[in-house]
Amino acid sequence: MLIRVVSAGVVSAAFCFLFQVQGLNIAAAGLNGALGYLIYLSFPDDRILTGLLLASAFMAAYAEAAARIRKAPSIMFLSAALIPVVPGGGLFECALKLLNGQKYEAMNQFGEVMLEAGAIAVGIILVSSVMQIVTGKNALKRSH
Amino acid sequence: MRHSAYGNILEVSSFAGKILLENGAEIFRVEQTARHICRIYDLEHCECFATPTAIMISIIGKNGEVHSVVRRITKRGVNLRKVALVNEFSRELSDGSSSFEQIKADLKRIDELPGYPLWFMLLTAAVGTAAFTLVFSGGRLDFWWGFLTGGMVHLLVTAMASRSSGPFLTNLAGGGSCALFARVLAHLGGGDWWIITISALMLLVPGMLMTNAFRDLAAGDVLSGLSRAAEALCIAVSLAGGAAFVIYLLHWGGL
Repeated sequence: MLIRVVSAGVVSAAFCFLFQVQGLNIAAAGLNGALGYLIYLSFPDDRILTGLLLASAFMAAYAEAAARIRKAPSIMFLSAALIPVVPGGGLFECALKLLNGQKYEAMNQFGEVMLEAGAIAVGIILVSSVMQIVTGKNALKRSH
Repeated sequence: MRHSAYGNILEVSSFAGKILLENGAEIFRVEQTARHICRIYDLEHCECFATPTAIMISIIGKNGEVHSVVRRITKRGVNLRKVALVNEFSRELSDGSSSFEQIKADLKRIDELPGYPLWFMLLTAAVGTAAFTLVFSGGRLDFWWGFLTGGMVHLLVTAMASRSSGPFLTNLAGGGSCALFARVLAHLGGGDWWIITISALMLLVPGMLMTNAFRDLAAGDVLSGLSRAAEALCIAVSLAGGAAFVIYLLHWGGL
């Protein structure tokens, strides 16, 4: 488990390089990825959606905090850290089943992937919305 | 204010917005930056509307005349360093003291900053894929085959993207090559082709697009949020489809 968590951190750091992030911010994003993956792993398989939601909410909150400390856009710390929890394997499995003629199993799998992606989305949107309330930067008010 | 001054303000604010959009910023950041630059020059009536493919800015001058500009965004990559630099730069422009030529030159300098060299990106992609095999509890063989596959796939995708083959075909071919390299390497040298394929595929996942889609939706930019989510889904589906198709073909061919 320790190896998996540390590797998730390395993956996030590697993605930072691919996104052209520089310096200490890479380490901050890598740590975010590892901690988020640890939260995700600590939930059993039948609680996977809760785990994903809490993990993505944690990573988004970490990114907002890091953005304020490091004076950099928060996506710098969030987008790379999210990569390890993205349900890529499920989507691949779904495509394999579809080509294999297992239509219903494929649809089932696709629904599961969408739920997992939705849980990640809810976590991020939740934190972004709370931050808008806290900082007073409301989407509707901001033009004036 | 002279007539050409409005043109300069529009040029500078749309240039800043263009750099931000081309390098993966959220919509609200683009609109805020463009409006902030117009505000510096005491233009209260200024609106900016940005989408992933175009940016429109319109200002109403002191005598009530309307000036506007539309910039199309055709190149969409990820370079968060440029996003951070433009963000910082626009914040420092707190009064109208710098000349337009100076601002334009500064923005151009940021726009033309070189990224990491190609060999370094290939190495990073290889290390990332290898680390992913460990995330999926792979063994030592998977690690090394993942390292090779990641580097080769990244080289292929970069070459295809630079020849602007379109996102759909690039990702279809990228996904297919992940499966091809992984299956052939695992067949020749042992290891789990499933883990290697998934690890290489994850490297091509549109993580930046997804994050931005969710953040746009949260900020109320529903149009851009939905279109970015749709684009991310299209890319993910063509990746998985390409990989699955190759696995199917290889299976049919007896591998």
